[in-house]
Amino acid sequence: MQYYLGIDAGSSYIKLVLIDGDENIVGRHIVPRGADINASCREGYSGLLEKCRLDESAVCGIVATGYGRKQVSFCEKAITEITALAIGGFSIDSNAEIIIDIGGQDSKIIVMDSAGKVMDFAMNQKCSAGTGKFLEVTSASLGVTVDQMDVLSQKADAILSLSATCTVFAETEIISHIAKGEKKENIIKALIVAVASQIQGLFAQVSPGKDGKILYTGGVSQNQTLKKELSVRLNRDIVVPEHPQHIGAYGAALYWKRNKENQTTPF
Amino acid sequence: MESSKSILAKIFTDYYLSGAQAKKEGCPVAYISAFTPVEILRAMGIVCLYPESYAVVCAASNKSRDMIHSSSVGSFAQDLCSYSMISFGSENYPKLPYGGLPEPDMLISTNNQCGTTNLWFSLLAQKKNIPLFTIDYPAPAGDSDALRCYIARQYESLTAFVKKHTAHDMDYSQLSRQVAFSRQACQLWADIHSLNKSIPARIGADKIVNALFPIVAARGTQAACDYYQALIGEQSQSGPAGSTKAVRLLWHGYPMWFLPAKFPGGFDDQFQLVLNDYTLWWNLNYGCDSSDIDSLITAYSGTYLNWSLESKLCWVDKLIQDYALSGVVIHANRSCRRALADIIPLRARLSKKSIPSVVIESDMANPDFYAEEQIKLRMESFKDILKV
Repeated sequence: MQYYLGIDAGSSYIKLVLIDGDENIVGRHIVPRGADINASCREGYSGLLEKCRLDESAVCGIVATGYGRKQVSFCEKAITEITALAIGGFSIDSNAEIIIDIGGQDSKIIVMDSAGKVMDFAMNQKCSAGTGKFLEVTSASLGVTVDQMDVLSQKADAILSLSATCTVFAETEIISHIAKGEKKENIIKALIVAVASQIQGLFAQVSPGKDGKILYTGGVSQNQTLKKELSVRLNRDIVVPEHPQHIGAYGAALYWKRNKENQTTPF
Repeated sequence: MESSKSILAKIFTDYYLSGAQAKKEGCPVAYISAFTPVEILRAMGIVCLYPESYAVVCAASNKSRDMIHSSSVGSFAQDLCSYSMISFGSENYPKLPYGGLPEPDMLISTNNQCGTTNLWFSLLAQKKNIPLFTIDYPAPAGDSDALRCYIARQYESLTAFVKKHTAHDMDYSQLSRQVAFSRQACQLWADIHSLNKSIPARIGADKIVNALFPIVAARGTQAACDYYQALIGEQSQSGPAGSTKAVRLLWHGYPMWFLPAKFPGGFDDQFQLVLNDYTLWWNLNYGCDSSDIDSLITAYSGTYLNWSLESKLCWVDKLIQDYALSGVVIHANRSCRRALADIIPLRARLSKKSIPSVVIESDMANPDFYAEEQIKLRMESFKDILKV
């Protein structure tokens, strides 16, 4: 059996997905990104092979995506996250019309046609407002983890507003709220609402159909409060697929497998 | 026939020498904003210099970052227009390109391109303690008698203002010559762009950007017309500037003056930048009005950034049709608030017409706002969409 590997070299984590010739996922792996992206990807690759009890010789194609995609020295090809997410997202749900992906450094809205071809996309501006990095930095200011933010935000009992969407300025506002004795839970909820507001603005930049299904991917999609807030703001149901962090890596693996077999893809 | 390159070099030299020469001869010098009716001022013997154009020169000379940082030290926020930041930062800056602009005797600003210019010039007037005249263009005058009268009255006041400060009178025959040359130069400028309506394109959009200076700073002169005539002649004899199979693209908005190519990488023979609409903003319509003043009212009230949103969107629609364009790269230039406001409706309009577009966030003159990797990612993703 031959296998295909997709590596999503993100700004926070390296995600890897291995598929077989029938496009079944045979293994997933995730490792934190170190200073040397290539070395982190190598480490992730070895870990994945070990998990799957496979040897490198079984892998006949490697495609990298994500912000560090060009640093991966051992891949056959590098593709953008937009392309990888569209292939991955459409392959797990062919009814999906829109993908919202909130990653560590970038937030993206991808609009696809009924064949899965990317029609439009929008990405966050240069700053980290509306990204996982925003939550990572601000959670550190509050002495909690990003995962804890989800649980704590559900205990909020007041609506606070943050005037700053800039990560640095938001930290200043957090300190000010803490100094006023504001509950941590309420501050966290306000931070999550600020991210949702950024994504809502991004959503307005593209013109998706009115009823298209939304897939919500990326590490931040596991935050239930943010998902709920987004759903209310966009007035749509939002579906978080299984293993939402791995959709880009899955798309990258599929890209190579399909191209290798000369299958027609819309990409 | 003299080459376009040689004429352009002379236009540059003459322009930068004119300021120094004027100071030496005691001739009044004015700093003016880009869409000031320069013809009136020149017809009154004023030497006119453009700080915005000089900011472009500073950015292209890789000096804008230092100048902007120097301006910030003087307590200006980074959020201000980078042209104005460069202008303030160039004060006391060593080794200025072309020796810098000489001190002005007066300032003339307009609001037909942006609101910042008026504030910038107002601050300059305070700092330098020199007179400032501001012209208000509420909208394109068109056939509106009220608007035409309103602007005409301001032109009368401008004439009185100049006379008060210089004792110079208007030379009406000189005004007519200036307006005639401006009209001709703009027609030639439009003709140069039209070369790219053909497939393949005839002249690179980057080459057009590099030919911009005369239409900005030497509008109303014989030299500008000579330059554009020579350039058209040369282009008509040279081969095509692209392939018939290229995906033809529009760059919407300002170039990035600090980049050697003025646009980021990613454009090539397959994905060709055929048109930058910013350069067409300078194709002022001097109309066929009965008087020179009426022509100036038509031209300067009708600048692109003074149009209604719907007019701007219709214009982009027309460019896409006329130039057979397949996609649009939109430069979200953080310095230009007026242009930024149009981006979301423009994207929506393009999407409705199934024209792919991508937004690149950066700045026209501040390299601190240029994130190469982020731009590359957006360009690559955009090209994936455009691939057949």
